[in-house]
Amino acid sequence: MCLGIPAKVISVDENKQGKIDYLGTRVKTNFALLEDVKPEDWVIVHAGFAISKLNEQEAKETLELIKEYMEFSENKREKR
Amino acid sequence: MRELRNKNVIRGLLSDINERARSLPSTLKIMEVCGTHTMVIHRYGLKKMLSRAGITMLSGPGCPVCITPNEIHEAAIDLITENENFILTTFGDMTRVPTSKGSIQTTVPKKGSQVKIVYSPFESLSIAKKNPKKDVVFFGVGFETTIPSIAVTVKYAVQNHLNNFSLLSALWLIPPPLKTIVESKDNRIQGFLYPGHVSAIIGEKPFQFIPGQYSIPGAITGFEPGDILISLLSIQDQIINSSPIVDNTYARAVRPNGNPSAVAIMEEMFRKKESHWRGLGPIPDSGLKLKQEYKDFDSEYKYKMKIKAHSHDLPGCRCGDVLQGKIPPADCPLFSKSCTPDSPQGPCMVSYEGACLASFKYGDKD
Amino acid sequence: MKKISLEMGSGGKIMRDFIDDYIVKTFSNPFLNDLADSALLPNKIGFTTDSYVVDPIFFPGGDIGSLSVNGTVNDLIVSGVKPEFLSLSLIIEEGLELNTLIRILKSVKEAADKAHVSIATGDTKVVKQGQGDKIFINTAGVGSLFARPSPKKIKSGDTVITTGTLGEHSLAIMLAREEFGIEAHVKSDCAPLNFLLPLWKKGSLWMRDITRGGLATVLSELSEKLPFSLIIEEEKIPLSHPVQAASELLGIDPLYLACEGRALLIVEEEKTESVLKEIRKNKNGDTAEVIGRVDDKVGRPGELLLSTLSGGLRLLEPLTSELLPRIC
Repeated sequence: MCLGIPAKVISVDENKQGKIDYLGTRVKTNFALLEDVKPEDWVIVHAGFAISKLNEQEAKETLELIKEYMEFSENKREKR
Repeated sequence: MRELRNKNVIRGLLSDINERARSLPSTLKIMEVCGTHTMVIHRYGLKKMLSRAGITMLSGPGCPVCITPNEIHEAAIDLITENENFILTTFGDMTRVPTSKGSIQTTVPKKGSQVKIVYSPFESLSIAKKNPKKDVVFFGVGFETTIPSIAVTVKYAVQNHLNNFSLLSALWLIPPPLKTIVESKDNRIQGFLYPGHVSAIIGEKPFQFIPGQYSIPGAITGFEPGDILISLLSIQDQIINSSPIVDNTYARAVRPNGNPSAVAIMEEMFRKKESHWRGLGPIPDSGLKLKQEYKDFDSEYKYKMKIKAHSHDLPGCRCGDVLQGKIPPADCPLFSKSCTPDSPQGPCMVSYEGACLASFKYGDKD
Repeated sequence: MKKISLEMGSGGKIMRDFIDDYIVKTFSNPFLNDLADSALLPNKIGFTTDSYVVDPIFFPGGDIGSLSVNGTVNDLIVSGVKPEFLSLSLIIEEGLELNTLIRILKSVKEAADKAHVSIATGDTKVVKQGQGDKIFINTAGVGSLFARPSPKKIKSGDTVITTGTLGEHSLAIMLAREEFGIEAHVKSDCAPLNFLLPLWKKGSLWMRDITRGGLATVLSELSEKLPFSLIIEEEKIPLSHPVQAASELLGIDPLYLACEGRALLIVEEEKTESVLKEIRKNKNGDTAEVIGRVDDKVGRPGELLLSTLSGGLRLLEPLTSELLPRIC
C-alpha cells in the first residue's frame, strides 16, 4: 500500500534514525532516504521511512484553494 | 490537511466536477492506478458520488496484493511450514491472500517458526538481531514507494553482516504496466490518477509518455478524498482544453524530479527483470531483484527456492481484465456468485485495495 | 482444515464459523444456540464465561487480572444481568514469579470490588515450564436477571450510543508489546460497566460490549437480525488522538479495534438524551456519544452503513479475523 502520512520530525540521529510526531503520537522513523532533514521539518512517512519532505509553500497553496471551497459551499447555502 | 476530507469541501469540489461534466462526454473512464486510491475512493463513499457526475473510476494494476502471483505466497508459506526456527516477517495485508496452501494468516508453522507482522521493513532487522539463531525472512512486496525502504533495509543487513536475514521479494515498477495498458488496441481509459507516493520517489518524468505519445490526460494525486477530486477537475480541464499533461496536483509532497537519493539506492541494490503481471502477462524490465553481489541476502537464492513466476488464475476468474480496467468487477462471471469476500477466487476480492472487494463491500452486488 | 490455526480463536467470522460448525452442532440447546454474551438460564439466572490469554500480562491501564473480571462482568451486564459471583481458574506456568502472581491477584480483588462481585469458587493448576505462557485465566460469572433485553422492540428512529472512545485497549496492547515503534500516552479502557445496568429500565433495548472485531463487527451482527438498516455517522464517532494517529499510521480502521470497557447501546429515540446524560455522569462514560440511528429509508434491511466524513455512504462489513492476536 502507498499509505503515507504527513508528520513532523522530532529527532534525527547520526544514523539517520529518529522519531516523528503525528497528532501527539510518536513513531520510530528512518530518514535514510532524505538528504537533509531536521527537527520541525514536515515529511511524508510510509512504512516507517520518511520518503519525501513536505513543501510548505505548496501545502499552503492547497489549503488556500480548499478554503475557497469551504466558503464557496457556505455561500451557496446562504443564497438559498 | 484534514480540510481535504471536509464535507463542504467535497461537496464544493463535486459541484464543480458536475458543472464541467456538462461540457464533456456523458461518461468518462478514469483509472486510478494505485490501490491506495481505490481504497480511499471506497472508504469515503466517493464512487457513487462520482458516477452521478458521469465519472467511472476503474482500478488499475497498482495493487501489490492483486498482482503478486500466488506462487510467491505459497513459497513463503512453505518456508515456515517446512522449516523450523524461521521467522517470516511481512506487511499485514499480504497475510490474507488465499492460495492452494491456505493463506499466510491461517498457516500453522513448524516448531519454532512463526509469522510476524511488521509496520516497517526495518523492524525485520531488529527481529533478526534479537533472534540470531533463527532465519528471518522479510516478505517484501511493493512498488517504488516501498522499494527504497526495502533497499535501505537490505543494505544495512549487508553492511552489518546480519547473515540470518534475507529478503523474499515481489517488487514491481509502475510505469511499465501503464505502457502496456495505453498501447493496447482496446484501451478505453480516458485519464489517469497517478500514484502520489510512487511519484514522490520517481518524479513526473516517467509518466510524461502518456500525454506525450498517447494524448491521455492525467494528474499526480494525493491521498485525501479532496485530492482525488482536485485531480479529476484537472483531468476534466485538460480534456476541455485539449492539453493533456502530467499535472502535479500533489506538489506539496511531490517534486518534479522526485527523490533522487531514493532512486539511487534502489539502483544500487536492485536490477531490473522481466515480471509476469496478472492479466497483462510478462512485461520486460517491470520488476526488481537483488543484484548478484547481494545474493546471500536474497531468500530465493539462499534457500534454493524454485518459484515459477507465472500465476494461474482459477478458471473463470477475470482479475487480469479487472486490473487493466477492461471490465468492472460486476462483469466477471464469478463476481458475487462463487467469488465473494468469504470465498475469494482471485486476489481482487481479497485485497482491501482490490477492485472486486471494494465493489462488493460498497454494495454493487447486482 | 486439519489443524487448529490461530485464526480460529481470533473472534472474527472464521471463529464464528468454527463455533457454528463444531460447538453448536455438538451441544445444541436453547440456552447455547443464541450465542449471546450470556446464557439466560431458568429461574432468571444469567451465566457466562471467558478465558484470558492476553499478552503481555501487564499493560498500561490494566493487566490480565483486571481484564478477567471486567470482561466477564460486562458480558453479564450487556445481557441485562446483575453480576454477583465469579469463579476464578488459574493455569500458571511453572517458574512464574510469586510476586507477579500476587500482583495479579490484587488486581483481580480490586476489579471485583469495583464491579461489586465476589470470587466464590475457583481452581489453580500449574503446568511445566514451556507448556503455558506465564498465566492463563478463566472466569465464569453468574447473576440474577435485572431486565430482559428487548431487541424486538427496536424501531426506526432509535439511536446508537457508544459509551466512549474506541480502540484504546488495542493501542495499549500494541504499546506494551513495543510493536511498530509507537510511543503514545494511552491506557487501556478496561473497566466494569455496572453503571449501564439501570439503563435497561430507562430506555435501552440492546447492549453489547465492543470487544474483538470492534464496533463494525458488533453492529453488523446486530444489523443482520434487524428488519432495518443501521446508519453510523463517521464524524460522530469519538476517537482519542493517539488512536486516530496510530490508526492512520498503521493503516488500521479504528472501527475494527477492540475495547475492554466500552459498550454500544440501542436506545429508544425518546429516551436518548436522558440515557446519554446518565452515561456521561460516570467516569468510564464521559466520552459517550450518539453515533447513529436505526433507519427504514436508507439502505436495505440488515445493512450496517457508514455515512462518511466526506458525505458518502458505504457498507461496513464484520471483520473476518482479528488484526492483533491475544488481545484479551
